[in-house]
Amino acid sequence: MMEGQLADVIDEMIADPAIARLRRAREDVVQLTQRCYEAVLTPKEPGGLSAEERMALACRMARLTGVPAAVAFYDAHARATVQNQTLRDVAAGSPAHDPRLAAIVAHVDRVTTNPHASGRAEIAALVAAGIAERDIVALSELIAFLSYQFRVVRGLELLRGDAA
Amino acid sequence: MSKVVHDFTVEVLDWSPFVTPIDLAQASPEQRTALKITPSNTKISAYVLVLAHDPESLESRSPLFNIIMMGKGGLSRGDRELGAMGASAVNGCVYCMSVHARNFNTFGKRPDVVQEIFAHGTKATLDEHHGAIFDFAARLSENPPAVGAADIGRLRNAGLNEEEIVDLIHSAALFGWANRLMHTLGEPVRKG
Repeated sequence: MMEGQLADVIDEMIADPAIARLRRAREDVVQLTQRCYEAVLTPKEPGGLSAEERMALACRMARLTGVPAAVAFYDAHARATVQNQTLRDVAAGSPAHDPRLAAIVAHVDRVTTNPHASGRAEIAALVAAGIAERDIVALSELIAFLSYQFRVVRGLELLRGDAA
Repeated sequence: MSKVVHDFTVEVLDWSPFVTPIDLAQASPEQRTALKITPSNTKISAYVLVLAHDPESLESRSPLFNIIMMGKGGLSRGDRELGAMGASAVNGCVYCMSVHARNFNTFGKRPDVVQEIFAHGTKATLDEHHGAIFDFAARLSENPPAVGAADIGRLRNAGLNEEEIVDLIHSAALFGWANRLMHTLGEPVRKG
C-alpha cells in the first residue's frame, strides 16, 4: 500500500472476508464511500475544522449512535490521534465550555440523534458562535456522512451474523 | 411569499436554504469540478450550491448518491426508493420524502403504499414485501439503529438475496445522510 493511502475503513470495522467480498458487488460504492470518509475526516483543505476536531466529533457521534464496530474503530482512532485534552473530553462525550466548540458539539449531538429538531434557529446559533458558512456545511457533511457510515456498518454487522 | 411545508406530500417543492449558496461566478476550480455531477444529474439547484461550500465532499458524494439509487442490477429501483422513504419518515424530511415518494410511484406503481406511509409514517402497515423493506429502512434510521437479526430474516423471507439486502442498507443509510443535510440546511417551500 502506498504511503498516505488508507485501507477501506468499513472493511477494517467489519473484519470479515465474506462481507468484504459481498460489498465488492458494488465496488464503486465501496470506493466512493471511502473517498467521502477521507473528505470529511482528513480533507486536503480542512478550513476552520481541524482533523483533530473532526476525529473527536466522529468518536462522540459513534458513541451517540452505538453501532459496536464503529464505536470500537473511532475510540481507537481518537485515542491514537486526538492529543488536545478538551477534544479528548469531547470525544468521550463530555460537554465543551468554549463557546465555539460548545455550539459545534450541541449541533453534532442534535443532528446525530434527532435531525428533525434542527432548523433555521440552529444554523443561526452556529453563525452567532462565529462559525463560517463553509465550516457549517463541512460540519453538516461530517455529521451526515457518519450517520450514513454507521448505518452501513450496522447493516453489515447483521449480515455478518451478529446477534441483535 | 412562499410557504414552508410541514406535511408529507408528492407535490414538487422548492427548497429554501438557511446557508448562502455559493455564487457560481465566483466558484473556485475545486467547486467547479465538484459541480460537474449533481445528485440525480439534474440542473444545479440551491441545495447543491450550498453543498459546494465543501467541494471535496460534494465531488464524491454526487456520484455515490447516483450509483446507490440508480446503479444497474440488484435491488429494484422502486425498492431502493422505499428505503429512502423509510429513512425520510423517521427523520421527518418532507423534501426528501416528496422526491422519493414520486420516484417510488414511477417505479413501484403502488400509490396505495405511499398513501399508507403518508397517513401512518413509521407505523404504516404494508404487504409482506414492502413492509419488510420499509420497516428495515425505518428501524435502521432510528438513533441508535433499532434493526436486528429478525429484520434481516424478514427481508430474506420476502425473497431478497444478500446483494439486494446490501443495496437496501445503502439506500436507507444514504438517507440518514441526505435527510441530515436537506432538513437542517434549509426548508421545503411550496412553489410560486
